[in-house]
Amino acid sequence: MKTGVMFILTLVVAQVSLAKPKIDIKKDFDSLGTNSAIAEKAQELDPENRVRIVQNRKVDRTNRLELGFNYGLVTGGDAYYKTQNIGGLLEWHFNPKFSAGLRYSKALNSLTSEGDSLYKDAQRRYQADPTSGYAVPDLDYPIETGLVTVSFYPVYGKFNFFELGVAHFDFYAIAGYGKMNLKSGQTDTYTAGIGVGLWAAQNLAMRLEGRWQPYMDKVFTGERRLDTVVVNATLSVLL
Amino acid sequence: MKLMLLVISFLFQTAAFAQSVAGEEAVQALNQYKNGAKVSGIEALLRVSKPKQIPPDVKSDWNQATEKDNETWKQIGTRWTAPFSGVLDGNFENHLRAWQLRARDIKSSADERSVEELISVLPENGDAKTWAQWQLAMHYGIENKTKSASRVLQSILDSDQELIDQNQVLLAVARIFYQENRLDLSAKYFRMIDKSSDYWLDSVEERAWITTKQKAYDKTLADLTTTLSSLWENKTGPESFFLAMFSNLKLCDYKRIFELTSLFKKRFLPRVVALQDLERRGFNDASQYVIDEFKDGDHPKINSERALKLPRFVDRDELLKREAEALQIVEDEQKENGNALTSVSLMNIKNRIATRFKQLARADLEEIKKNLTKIQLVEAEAIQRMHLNPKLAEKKGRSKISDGLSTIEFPYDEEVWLDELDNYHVDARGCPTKGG
Repeated sequence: MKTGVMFILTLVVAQVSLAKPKIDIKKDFDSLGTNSAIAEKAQELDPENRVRIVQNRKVDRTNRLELGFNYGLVTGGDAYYKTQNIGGLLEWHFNPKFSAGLRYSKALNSLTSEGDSLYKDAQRRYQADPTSGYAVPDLDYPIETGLVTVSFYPVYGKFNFFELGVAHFDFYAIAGYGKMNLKSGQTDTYTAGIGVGLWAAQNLAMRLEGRWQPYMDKVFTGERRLDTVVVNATLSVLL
Repeated sequence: MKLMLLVISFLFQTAAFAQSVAGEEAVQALNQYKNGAKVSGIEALLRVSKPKQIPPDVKSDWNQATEKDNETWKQIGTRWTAPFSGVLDGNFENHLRAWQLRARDIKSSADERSVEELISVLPENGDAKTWAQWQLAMHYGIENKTKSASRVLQSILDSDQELIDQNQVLLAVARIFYQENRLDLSAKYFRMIDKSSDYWLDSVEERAWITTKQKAYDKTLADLTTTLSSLWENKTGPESFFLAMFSNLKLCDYKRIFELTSLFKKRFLPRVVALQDLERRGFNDASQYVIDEFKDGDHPKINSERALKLPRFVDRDELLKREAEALQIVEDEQKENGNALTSVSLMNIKNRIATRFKQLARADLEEIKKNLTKIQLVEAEAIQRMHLNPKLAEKKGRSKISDGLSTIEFPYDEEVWLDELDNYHVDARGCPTKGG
């Protein structure tokens, strides 16, 4: 009897020791990261490792030629006429930070409402009485401008273009010197301004810039300085 | 003498009976095949219990019937075995053997030679040949016979095959180089994998192991920042978490270890519950969706809801895809000529599908469990180190990461931009001093 009981007990013990321990994955999960004091201490020992994104420019502008067509509006000049520019640019990008180029623009002039009314008034007076006097403003409007420029691109960024893709852009500062042909003759001009260049694709770029561009014109009262602001939008091809 | 004659007579009658049963089964299967139910016909043949007893004339009929069949072998799930040798047309049999080959079936050098011979008789650029080569390469890789694996993989790369994704082959090549400890070559092949490929994420994760081996833990973390991104939460495996925690341990970023622990729990605990259920039952609504998509010839779209209930990469499981295609064919056969044989085939295919889901769920659970154990060790080590080294060392300055005007840097704020994936860099600053 005693032997039988011992035998059964031995079997039971053997069964228990041979049985595989139950694997409880959920319990093991629950035991992870439960000590909040330790987690707080970990916060204090922050080594400040930093993750940054470092990527190649989507459009590399090292030793590339940019050929563009632009349209501009001129403000701040003579009160009696307004000028729009159409023109082109040829820009050589030495690297993504610096470029130098040539700008040409053809001026399209028209009278402002004030100028138009003065000329119409003078015309009416003349038609009414050719002998009577009339006054019209002396206009020394621009005909065309040529500039040599340098640009510096210190700030870059990117934006998500309507979920279609990511485009990179650069803000830039521009400075230049050139000549303007006015009605009265040629005059010097210089320019300085800022702009943003959007590099839409490997061969396509867009620019929007605003430049201060002063020059001296000659009206019947003598030379005078005009401080104009030129706002240009450019569409170009990167070669 | 009389007794001996009785015994001999009994044996002959038994043999004749066995032959007639096997023959009968084979003839039924042949009729099924000839009536257009090709898949269930061949499956019925492969279920004949004593194939060696199939009479020669029935074998000859089967040979003729399958002589010009160039596609049904792709849908046969019932395993061909050696006793069936000679029953089917030789070319069909070779294709079937090759198509059903698995790396785990190759157990000895004799098996390797047999598979190499089989590959040599199959037509060039055929799917069966490619599949057999692929399985042989996997076997050689598992057995650490890297030179043989490289040779076979090179044949696959050189061929015009379209069965195995080129990126998958490149991944295998990279792994072989890793096994040979040729880490630079391995990294080179990992980088050849297309970013749009299903295998790209695997390549990034495995590349991280290379930098870990090279003790460049900052580069490991940079790669793992991509794999742990919320964009891939359906596809990231537990090993990425372990490796990230291990690397952070090496860089003494204990804060990040605890952050990753929370993220690991959040991502994997719900999956564990669902996978345990799938392992038990072999099906759920998400698995049914996968099979339905495969049956329609489409690639299943695994959204986050389905991903919780499915093993990882179930959408690219070749075996499930084949079984689903076979299921569609046999269901069509059932509609046209439904009988007991098609019903049995249908049931077997469904059982094989359920078994496959169970296998995949089990493999995922084992992977999670294995990495969970390692993660617990990392956590324990981190806790011990924090107790032993409570102060931070003098922090070294920031290193310059970008390498010229053509590169641009942005801060990382955990917002995911697609163009930034795989472009992360980690600037690691130092570890705590020893002592209090």
